[in-house]
Amino acid sequence: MTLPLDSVRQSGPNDGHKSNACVAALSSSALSLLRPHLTEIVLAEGTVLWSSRGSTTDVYFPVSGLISVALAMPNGELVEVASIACEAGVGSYFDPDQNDYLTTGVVQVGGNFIRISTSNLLSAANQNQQIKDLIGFCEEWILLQGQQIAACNAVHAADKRFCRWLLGCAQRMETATVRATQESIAAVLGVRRTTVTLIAQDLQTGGLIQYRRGRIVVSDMSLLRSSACECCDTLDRHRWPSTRLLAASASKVPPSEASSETNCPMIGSGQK
Amino acid sequence: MPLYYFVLKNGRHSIPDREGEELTDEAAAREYAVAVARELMRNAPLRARSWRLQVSDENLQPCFELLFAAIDDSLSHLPLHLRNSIEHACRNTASLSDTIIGVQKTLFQVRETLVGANRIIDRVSFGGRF
Repeated sequence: MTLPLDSVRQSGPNDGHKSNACVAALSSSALSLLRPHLTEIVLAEGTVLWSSRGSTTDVYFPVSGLISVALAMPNGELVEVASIACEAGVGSYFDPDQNDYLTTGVVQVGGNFIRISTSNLLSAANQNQQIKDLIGFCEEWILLQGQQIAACNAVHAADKRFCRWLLGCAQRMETATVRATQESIAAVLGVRRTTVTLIAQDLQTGGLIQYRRGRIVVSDMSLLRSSACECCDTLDRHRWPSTRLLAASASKVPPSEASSETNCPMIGSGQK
Repeated sequence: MPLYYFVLKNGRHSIPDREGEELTDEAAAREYAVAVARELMRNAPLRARSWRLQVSDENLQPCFELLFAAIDDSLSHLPLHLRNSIEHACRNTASLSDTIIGVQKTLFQVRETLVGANRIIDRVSFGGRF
């Protein structure tokens, strides 16, 4: 299905139909280059998008789901090094000639995704600086997460890392309810399932979350934040590719046009 | 394979893992408990030294209790007698917090009993006037 322009552009956190904030942040001229190549698809949890054994030639922009970029350990365990929700996009890599992948891309939370082939995205980037920026911001975002998570894994306790991960998911997916099993969170954090259960139970006793099978509801976002490690601040909103795209376009737009912009970072840039 | 249940005692609450884990025998359960304790303690050993992991069998009969200080690698550079005294202190802290939790529970029950007693007295005196 090719997306109608409106469904990509006019979306916000309260709309029934959300979009990927990164795609929604593009100007109409940039979007018109991409629009014919965008397809909206539904992917189930656990779908492998690319791995060290098999490549993909596509880039995915999550709308309601979450993609985990993970490293496969020799024993088959997958440990997360970055995750991408509607604030960015990700593919096996943005270079179609690259064929030696270290990472595996797995759908961590199933939902809607916008797909575009890497070659179409790159040819659009050659014609449009904003799309080039989008690719650069998304690459930097994955690199930043990898660096931050490496440091976090080395020095922070498991419960703080759990809170960091949950808060990141809730903020970037714009929801208080995160669908994830204990097993999948255990894999993300590189700990045993029982460890995750005990941490989640403790947070539930403290009134931070409510845990039901396969579903975590964040009851108190600010308590969760104060229980998370400080890595949350580094990976905060201001570093999201969608926010950076909006900031970059706002600085280029003349003041008269910029005034039509909305305060909400998740709503399209408003350049009409 | 038998099922084992793990309960974390962190000095404030007893936190149960209601799902349990299938493991070959008690030795495997101990190995698993040590691994979980290490994961919970990693990068924050000071906070967690007096925590314990209680392991029960599928009939919820306690098998053993693991004191985190006993497996704390951040103490391994210390001479044995120091290590032992830290472990001893942590064990005492743990039993002190057990006692405090017990006292709190008793106080709560006493308060409930008093409320109940007041209600009965009220009802009796209310009945007495009529």
